[in-house]
Amino acid sequence: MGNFDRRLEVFWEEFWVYEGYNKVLEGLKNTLFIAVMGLVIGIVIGTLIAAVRVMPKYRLVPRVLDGVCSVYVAFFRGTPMVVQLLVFYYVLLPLMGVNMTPVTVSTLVFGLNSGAYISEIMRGGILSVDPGQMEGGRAMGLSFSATMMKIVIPQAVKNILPTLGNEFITLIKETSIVSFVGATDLYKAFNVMGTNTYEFMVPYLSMALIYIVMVLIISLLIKLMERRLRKSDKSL
Amino acid sequence: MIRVCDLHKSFGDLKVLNGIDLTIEKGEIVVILGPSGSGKSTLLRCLNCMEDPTAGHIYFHDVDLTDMKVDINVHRQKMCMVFQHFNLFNNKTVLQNLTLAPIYVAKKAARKARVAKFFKRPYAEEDIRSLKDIKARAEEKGMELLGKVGLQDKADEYPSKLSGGQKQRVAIVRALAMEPDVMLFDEPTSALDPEMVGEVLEVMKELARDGMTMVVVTHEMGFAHEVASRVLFIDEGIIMEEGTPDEVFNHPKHPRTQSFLSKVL
Repeated sequence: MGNFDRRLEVFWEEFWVYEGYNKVLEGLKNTLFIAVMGLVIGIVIGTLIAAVRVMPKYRLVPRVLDGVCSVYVAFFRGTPMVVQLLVFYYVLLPLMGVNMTPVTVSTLVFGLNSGAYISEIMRGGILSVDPGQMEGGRAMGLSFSATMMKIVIPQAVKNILPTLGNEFITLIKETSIVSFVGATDLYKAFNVMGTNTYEFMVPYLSMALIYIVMVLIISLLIKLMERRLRKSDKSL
Repeated sequence: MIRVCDLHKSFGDLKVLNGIDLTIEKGEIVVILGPSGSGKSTLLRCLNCMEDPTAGHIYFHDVDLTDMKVDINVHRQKMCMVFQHFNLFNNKTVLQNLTLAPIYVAKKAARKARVAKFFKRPYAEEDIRSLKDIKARAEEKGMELLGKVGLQDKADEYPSKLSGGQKQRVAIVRALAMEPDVMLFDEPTSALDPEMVGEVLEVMKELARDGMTMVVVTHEMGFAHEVASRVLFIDEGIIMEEGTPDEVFNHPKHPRTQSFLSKVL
């Protein structure tokens, strides 16, 4: 650590004088964008899949849908996210002849991937809600989907919020793989700064710090949200 | 109003209902008695297809509910159910519990009417209402109903803050908010503390006086005796005995009925 002062100076020069902060800000923006949009897409897909999986299976359509969802979940949970990212970017998109920026592709893959995980989280959440809630809704003449949307899923979400927060934190940290397809995220930004100066200690240390601060802020937000949602739970 | 023809229901190998025939007329108060496991709750839950019958037919206003093509939700709106464990919506306030389904139904009707109007098909003008109007009317109705059971001051509380008796009274007016033709009661007092049974039975008696058609599964013999227009005794999945309260309670013919009544009275 003897020459830490010098390392700091080199980093500062790269960060401030050569405007490395632009890269960092861009990386931070992309990291957050991919994680947040991934989570949103994931929640939508995950909720749909979970609803399909708890649907009564008397008829053909729900059974077929259930099969499709099983395959989807098996695929996205059974392969590493890096592999999915690479397959999408270097195999699927060229085959389909579609042009997308690395950030868009990453967001999509993160959404599809977390959809598979969130579907299982959400299914557990739905099963944790008293079946009487569904019965109460159905007996009033609400359809299955209406009861799900208005009664069961809001209560399920409350139950799974801590797990969902965990998923978001995982997503944020996982974004460090998007540089595989050339997107600039937080990791890439600091990595570039390190490569420019042959000095990695301070950049990587700062990177770790930023990740931790982000995760801490998110945990705090989740805690606040939980407290708000628990409002209807306070008993006598 | 309700006609049940040769209703069978089994859960796997277990046969619960073995051929029930039953007709319920408008304004009747039918109380279903029977030992536990006799199939009385299953019968009630089959009436609104909460359990799908294995065989047989249920006609409600001459529509066969067991037909898969029938939209069961529309009929359930006129055939509301009160549960043993209340099943109030925990994420909604008391008033929202009452207004949720009426608002849903009115919104759906409004949407349908608007589409019909757009395509120049026949529609009912009174169905086209703004969301604000739908909400306001549902809330007004909800408050009025809450007033009926003396719970107006609880309108903005969540169900978890209510006592058992209060919850069941809310559940009853929640069903009433749909303006049903029939109300089904599935052991409405069985999960209550003894001191709260009275308040719920009082509400049910008032409903009976107002001429509501009711089908009640209960263990409250006093209620059955006082309010019922007809009593059914069910055991082993069939109707063993049927008649006025006086006939069934005071002059039971079937030995099974006699032994059951001697134990509970």
